[in-house]
Amino acid sequence: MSPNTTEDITVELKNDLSELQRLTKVVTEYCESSGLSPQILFALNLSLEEVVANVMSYGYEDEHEHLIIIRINRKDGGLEIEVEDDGKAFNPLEQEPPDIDAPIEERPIGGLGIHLVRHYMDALEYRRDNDRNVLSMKKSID
Amino acid sequence: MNIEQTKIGETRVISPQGSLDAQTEKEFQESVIGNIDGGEKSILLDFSKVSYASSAGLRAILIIAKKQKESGGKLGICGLHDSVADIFTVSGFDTIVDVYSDVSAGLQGLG
Repeated sequence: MSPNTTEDITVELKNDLSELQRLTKVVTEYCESSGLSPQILFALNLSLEEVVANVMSYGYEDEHEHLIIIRINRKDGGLEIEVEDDGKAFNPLEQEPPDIDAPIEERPIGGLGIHLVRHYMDALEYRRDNDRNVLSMKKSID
Repeated sequence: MNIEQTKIGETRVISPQGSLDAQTEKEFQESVIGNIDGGEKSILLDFSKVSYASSAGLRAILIIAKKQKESGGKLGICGLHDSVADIFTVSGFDTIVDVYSDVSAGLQGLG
């Protein structure tokens, strides 16, 4: 395999926060074997944790086990990352941006996750597909 | 997560280690809130051993900062790794918590 080609990866996680550790491990190994920079690794780990933790914490109204599917593909000089879940319909991109200049008393608890994802990723797109949420993220790796 | 604590002069120095994320935020938050409830008026969070933090970590820090402000105490944070300093800036946290380079600068700033 040449340094510029990488096997695409798919990770399936149960809806339990303890699974995040396994996700971080897989993503770290993927980035290291692909020769991606520590900055890309951080952007990827952070964005995936934000999106996946959100689904795990708020996406399900029952107590059953669900699978969240994460795909990472190398494409057109960048990375394409998809997070797919069968939770309730939720488009995180509809969330209002936080006021990051507000004084401490006026800062709401929470709501910064998607703000960080927007900052560290280059493009975000949401679709509802067959009763599933799919969030796709793009990150250029130049 | 491993969290070390010491008292230097009047300041309680709290040093979490590892990742401050969705899994560890509660433990970290409870440990610091315990100190605030116990009457510590000067708290320095030493983040020199925190290699990674996400919005879950920021949420914990915001809860701590609000609580310490209500109690009339002081709060500082020091030793931020580059990626943690970056999410602080992106989220506007550098304006709500005093950021210091290291423990000695923090002790001086709070003291």
